[in-house]
Amino acid sequence: MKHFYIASILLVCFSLKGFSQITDDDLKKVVTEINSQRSANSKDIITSLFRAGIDDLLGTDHKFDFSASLFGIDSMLRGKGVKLRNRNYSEERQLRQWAVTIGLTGDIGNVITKFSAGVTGNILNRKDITKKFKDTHTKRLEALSDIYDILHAKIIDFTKDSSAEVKIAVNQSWNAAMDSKNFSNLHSVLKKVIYSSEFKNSVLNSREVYSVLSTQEIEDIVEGLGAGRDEFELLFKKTITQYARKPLWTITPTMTYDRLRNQGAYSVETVFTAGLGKDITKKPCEIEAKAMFKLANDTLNKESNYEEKPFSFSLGINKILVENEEKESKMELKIFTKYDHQFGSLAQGKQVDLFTLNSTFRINVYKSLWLPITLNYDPKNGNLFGVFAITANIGN
Amino acid sequence: MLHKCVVARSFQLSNFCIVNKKPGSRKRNRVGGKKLVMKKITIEGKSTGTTNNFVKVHIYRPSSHSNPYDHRKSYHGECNFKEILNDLIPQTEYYIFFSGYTTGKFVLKISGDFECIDPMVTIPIVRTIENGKFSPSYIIRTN
Repeated sequence: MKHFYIASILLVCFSLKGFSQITDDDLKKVVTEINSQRSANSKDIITSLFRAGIDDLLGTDHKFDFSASLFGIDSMLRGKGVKLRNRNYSEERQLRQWAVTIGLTGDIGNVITKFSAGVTGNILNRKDITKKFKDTHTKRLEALSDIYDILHAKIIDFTKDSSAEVKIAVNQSWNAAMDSKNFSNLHSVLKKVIYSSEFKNSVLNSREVYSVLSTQEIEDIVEGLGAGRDEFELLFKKTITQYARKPLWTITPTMTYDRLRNQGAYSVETVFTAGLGKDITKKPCEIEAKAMFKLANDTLNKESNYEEKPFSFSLGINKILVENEEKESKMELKIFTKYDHQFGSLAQGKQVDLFTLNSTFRINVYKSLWLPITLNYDPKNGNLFGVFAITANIGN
Repeated sequence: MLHKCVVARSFQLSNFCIVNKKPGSRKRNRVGGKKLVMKKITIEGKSTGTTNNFVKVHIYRPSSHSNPYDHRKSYHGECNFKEILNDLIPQTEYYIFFSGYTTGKFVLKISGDFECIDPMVTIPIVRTIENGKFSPSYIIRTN
């Protein structure tokens, strides 16, 4: 038992190390940024790079699984110098939509009892911000870009006869404000330009701007700039957050081989998740619906069979409780109900239908390492079960 | 004026091109009857990992100055472009500024026959933006 824990934790750590073997820094950073605002719960559904996990740490059967997106596998091969033809964006995106999972299950005596392999594919992924935003979002961002362009031109007109020192100082102040995303410490000249009626009138008269934004919106933006807010940055972050809360729907067929009974089992699972609420200033809350059907052998029958046919459906809400400054999730709580139905043969002492109340508490302990703890309560029989696990969303 | 739009159309994406040069610019390449050797700058942009990009490139010299200049160009989509401007007057100050956004990684590079009047900025100018909006500004003087 102890050896299994140590080996599993070492495997998780080596998996974390494996991420560093991807030498393409561009790809690592892009994927990291893409996933930075997704909940840990949605990252468990499908990974963009790698995910490793050990389930049921305190149970009699322990399962280790490792998931890798096709994008992550391809990136590792590139890092090892394997020559593949150049990828374009469409190919990269297709690779991110699929992930493969392999798993090992061991018993209390450290004997590997089962091997499993599965594929997860996206049926619907509206969270992907590498695809072009909707036209409404794109036009608003481009309007803000035009406003900043107009502001640039006005700054230049205002300082055209100034000394080189003033021009350099004003330019440095502007670039520093862009880098820090904070307009509260602008050079006095920049403030004068922002507050000037010339700038405001230029924006109000700009066709690219007034065709997208209302007069009130333009005035609010100009006022926000004057108050020290980087309005373009605020709009961009708001748009990204809105996309992080959009739906994700996946399907995962899995095959498991039981080496002790010399028989396979087959399952298919589908998961749907979507953000709730329109107020993006609040921490994200998402709904999750999950359904799974399995064909496995009835262990009471010594002959090969597929008489075990469990079906389960769960519905719940996952809430991010704690975020860091970059809006990355650090602690989550999911509360869900689960219904299990046995279509096949029923073992002694088991019920055809089982309804449970459940919760999963996730805490981020270190970088991409998470500890999810699941409690299952059977109200009919008064049973309470706990499942402890450890997961690492590598590069996510 | 038209040749710039033709150059723009050879690039991958749908763009619009505004080239608005003030009157008198046709004679800019002559001073005291002598033909000037015009200076060239190259502005390159390269995006990675996303097609969700937008950048507006603006090279500007105010109309109140001699030899005014106002060249604007916008790019959408994958935003891999190379803009060559070879009609800049020697020993003249120009402003180059950008505004846009990317959900992946975007690298801007400016090179050519110029120096930056801000001594903190090295030539060629290279700026990398990752998943964010950007609006950098540079003041250059042609050689």
